[in-house]
Amino acid sequence: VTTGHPVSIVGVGWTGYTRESGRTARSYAIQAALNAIKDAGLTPSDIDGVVSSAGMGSPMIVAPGAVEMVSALGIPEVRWFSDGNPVIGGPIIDAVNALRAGAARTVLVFHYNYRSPYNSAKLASDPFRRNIAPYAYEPPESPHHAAAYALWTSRFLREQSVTREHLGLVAVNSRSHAQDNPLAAIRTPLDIDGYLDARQVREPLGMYDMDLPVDGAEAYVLTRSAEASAGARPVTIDAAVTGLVAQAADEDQLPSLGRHGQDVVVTQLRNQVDFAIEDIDLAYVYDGFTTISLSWFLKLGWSPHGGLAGFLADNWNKDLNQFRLQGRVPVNPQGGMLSEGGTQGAGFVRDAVRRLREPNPPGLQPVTEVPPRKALLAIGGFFYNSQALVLSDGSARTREGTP
Amino acid sequence: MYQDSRSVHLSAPADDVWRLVRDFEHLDAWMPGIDALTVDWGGCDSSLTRHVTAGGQVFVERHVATDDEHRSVWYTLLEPALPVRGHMAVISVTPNGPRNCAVTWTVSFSVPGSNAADGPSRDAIARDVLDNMLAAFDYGLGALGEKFGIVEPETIPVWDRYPDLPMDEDDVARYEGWALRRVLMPFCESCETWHAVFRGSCPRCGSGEVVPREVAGTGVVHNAMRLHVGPANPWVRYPIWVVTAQLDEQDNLRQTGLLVGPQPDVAPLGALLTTVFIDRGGVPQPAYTLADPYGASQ
Repeated sequence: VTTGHPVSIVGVGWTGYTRESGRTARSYAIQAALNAIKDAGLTPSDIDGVVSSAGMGSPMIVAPGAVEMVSALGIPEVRWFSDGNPVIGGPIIDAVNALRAGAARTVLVFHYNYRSPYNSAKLASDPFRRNIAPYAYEPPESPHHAAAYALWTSRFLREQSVTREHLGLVAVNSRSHAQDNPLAAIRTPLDIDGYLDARQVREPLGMYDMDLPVDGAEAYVLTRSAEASAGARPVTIDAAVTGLVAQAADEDQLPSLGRHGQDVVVTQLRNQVDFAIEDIDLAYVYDGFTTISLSWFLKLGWSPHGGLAGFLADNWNKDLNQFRLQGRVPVNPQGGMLSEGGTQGAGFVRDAVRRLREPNPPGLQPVTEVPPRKALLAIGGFFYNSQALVLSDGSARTREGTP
Repeated sequence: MYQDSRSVHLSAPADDVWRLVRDFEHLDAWMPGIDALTVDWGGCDSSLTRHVTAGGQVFVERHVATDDEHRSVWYTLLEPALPVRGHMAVISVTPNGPRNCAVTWTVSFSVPGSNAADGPSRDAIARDVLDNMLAAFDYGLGALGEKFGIVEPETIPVWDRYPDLPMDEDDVARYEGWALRRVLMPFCESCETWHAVFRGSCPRCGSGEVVPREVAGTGVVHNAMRLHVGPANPWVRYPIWVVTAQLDEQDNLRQTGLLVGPQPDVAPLGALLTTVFIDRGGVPQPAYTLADPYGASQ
């Protein structure tokens, strides 16, 4: 976002996550949206743009999309609306583009999660969810969607000379943070032995390598930074990028792990902002699958290629059972996708906004010595959902660059 | 144990044919050459028995089971005039898509005694019995053919043969290959490049001259995962490996499938593999097997 009007997140709303709800996705989404609008000091009639993450036929996504949300909130009129990528960077980028282009002035972005028989077998007998069938034909050997990560993990482990013990650090880190997060769906302790003992699902990935199906929602209100109201506590979007490569729809055809969506994202990020570990205070590194986090460490240039095992050891705090990059920067301080909930990055955005906009947000355990000013959010995996956001308290300077 | 069968491919929905064939008491509704047919609920287990008079002989046949889900009916020959034991016959109707079906009539039995030098051998007796029975089967199946119309299975389009497969106009050739147990993949005749997915257009040069062409089905394991749980399928027993095959035809040309046969202990990356076809609910589908399964797991 080095060209055009800077955009800020001026409101955030959340519901928390659970694995035992008797509520609809709709009710969560509406609750989060109303909270976000109120948090921004606005009313629904101030919203003139709405974008959901209900596009692209995501299996997690059922009603509502943007159109139903406009009706549910009683927004009199909107000038722009869309249903975007189920992974949160997508609809946020859509909103940023709409605001910079002038298509809308005050945009509501919302995201929700709803467990279905697709990702939670016990819901096959739930009277309200049993008929949700996202993929009509998915043979067991399908290399698409989640399974692609299990297949490519077999190669990742070999090429990077790492093992399941290294993947397990990602899971343990997230669980350690979730214990301090009342919004998290699972908060029981997990150590490396517990990780290794968990049942295998798609070997080499086991139960704790895969993000957690949950119910809940997040929403954000975005405006141009210059138009943030006086009372708001805006968080600036310093960068918001996404990208994919030619094989994104045919995951098993990717020529190698050397170039995929994460590389396209990092290339753009380099032109826009500084994101070395010393440049940031908070790191949100997508753990929808543990392998994805380890890949981001390499792609972001934080870990040397061939030196991943050493990087993980050097940046692990044994006392906390958490990563502290260069002894300072925490990773996934809300509990990640693995323990707060598999929210396609939405929980990252909420947590980063809350920690950046005020020194000691109520209910949040501090994770840095001094109040954080800049967060890197590396979101999504290798294919259709590789994204990154850089959020700051507005004091950080973005570099002049070329798009 | 001796066994043989006869089949006919009919141009009628399986349920229409099954409705007729399942009716054990009214064999004469479709089987020609029956002079008299009576039924009773004889026997100590009150099983249904039919007495069929044909060609001057009386055949006493007891109903064993009817399975409507699999459209199969079993019966056994009682007090056979023929020198057989343990006779069992089954008539099955299997759909070939929604508009066609196959009827298969199978018999099995054993012949008592030994292949003694004096007198006819058991094999010769069995062959004699089988010839007679199969002639009767042909007679009955021929009558079904006249009633419903006979169809050559090769002429049934794959979307009718395999109505549950997710094919479309772009990738139908893939499934036509399966029917012939051949792996066909898209090949661009313009830039002479293989592709993995039928999309009607070449992603390398944009040409529409993309045709299905057979691959050898040999390659090496590029990626692998072992499924420990998954949807219940009669052809999958978990855990089972799934492998992405790097095919020999071209760099980065891959297919992903089940690994059948011996299962390695660890991910068999780099192991040689070859394609085999397995039956999945009446659909032949490609899978892989390791060329050197025991070497690969070391």
